Amino acid sequence: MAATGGGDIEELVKQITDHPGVQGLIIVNTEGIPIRHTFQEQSRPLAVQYCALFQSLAMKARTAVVELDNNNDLLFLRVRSKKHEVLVAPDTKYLLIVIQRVGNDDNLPVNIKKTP
Amino acid sequence: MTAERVESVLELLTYTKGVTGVVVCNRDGQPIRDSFQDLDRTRAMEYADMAAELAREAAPLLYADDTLDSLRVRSRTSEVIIKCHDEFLLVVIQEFSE
Repeated sequence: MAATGGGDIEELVKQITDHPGVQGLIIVNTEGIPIRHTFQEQSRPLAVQYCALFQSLAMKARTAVVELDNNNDLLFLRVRSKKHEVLVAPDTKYLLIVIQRVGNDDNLPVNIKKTP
Repeated sequence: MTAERVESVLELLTYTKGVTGVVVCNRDGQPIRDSFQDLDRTRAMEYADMAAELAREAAPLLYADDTLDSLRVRSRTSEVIIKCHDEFLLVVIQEFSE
């Protein structure tokens, strides 16, 4: 993720949020502060809560992956419930969280760029 | 579900292309059955522990009227799919080359 170019981030945000079924997007920095989210402004506490909860889960998943194989690393995490699905893409500096609706149509493709 | 059906589903999963392992464990992380060949079940216990821990960690993140359905943990070499049930967890490990 480009830290210097603001346009790159805006393009990424638009590309993801325009996808059908996407309900929210949050970008978190290493300190757990949401630097970008697509909720309404008064829902910032919601973004902060999502950050804290899913950043902790991503760290736990990364620990589990490295425990199994020292040379491995976490690339992507999906938490699916009856109603929603939360996609977490960790990176060295940032964490990307996308919340989408689980519809009856399971053919919805999720075309998020793979984190290198 | 009868025992025969469980066996057939597990066999179907085990021999799906790309799948390298299948583990059925309870919520405490104790493997009930697995498809690995090692007798001491080391790998099955490792994956069962991982699945139980992640399921335990993920469940409280949801709303009160929502329940955890599945987890997918994608790493550099493999993806672990954890299907959650009230009492059991089904863990499927599939590997891919990028």
